[in-house]
Amino acid sequence: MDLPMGAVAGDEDVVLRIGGSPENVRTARLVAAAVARREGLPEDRVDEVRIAVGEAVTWALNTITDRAVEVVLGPGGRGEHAARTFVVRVGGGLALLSSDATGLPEEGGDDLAVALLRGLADDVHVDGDVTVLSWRDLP
Amino acid sequence: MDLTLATRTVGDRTVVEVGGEIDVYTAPQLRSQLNDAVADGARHIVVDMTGTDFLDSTGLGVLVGGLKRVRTMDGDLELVCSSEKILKVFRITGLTKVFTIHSSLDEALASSAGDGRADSGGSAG
Repeated sequence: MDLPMGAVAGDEDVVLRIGGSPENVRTARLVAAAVARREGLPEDRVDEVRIAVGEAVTWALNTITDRAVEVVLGPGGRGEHAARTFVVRVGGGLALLSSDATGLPEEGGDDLAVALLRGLADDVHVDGDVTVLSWRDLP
Repeated sequence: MDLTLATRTVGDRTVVEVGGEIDVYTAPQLRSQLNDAVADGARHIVVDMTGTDFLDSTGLGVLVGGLKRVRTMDGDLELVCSSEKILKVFRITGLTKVFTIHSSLDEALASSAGDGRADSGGSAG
């Protein structure tokens, strides 16, 4: 499968293709939580992954109309540092990373989603049209 | 888990019990429930999230929308939530400063009954 996110899925990665219905976001959350658990994240961090992946996939579904959202989940930190990282890549674009939730946000406003992503993951950045979320220091 | 919703009246409060998962798929149901309550005259709403086990930004947006709506009518919308993982969502988004969050329904009802709400309308800055 082509991965539009410029990422190469490793042997340990799980790749999801999520169709356009919001009902499917729940499935993405469940799978993300299961993979995070498999990678050894403690349960409070699994919850963070579950929520953050839901937010990122929801965002992506809102910006993609003609194709599936693709999610790659798996261990990162294969570099020189020993600390292992759990990384989630969600294809679909995220352009509002600079905003913060302050005061009373607009209903359905993206600032809540951004605040959640920033607050839950150890690192959030955009790589092309891919939202990259990571959690550090896995056991 | 699907969303479960139930609305009942306790004194001058309208209690909306929300169970299950509030997310992008189910949040429209909650929005409708709150809209219906307001249309039926509810101005002082307590959303009881004791049975809620998931909340995302779409659900937060619906709650914020409900709060804004009742505030324009000198009403209020307060929450009941004791789940640490749900409270974390409110803290991260800064909404603990926006909502009054009670740890139990009894606390919410007792608080609302004695806080002098009747003369507090219109003074919010």
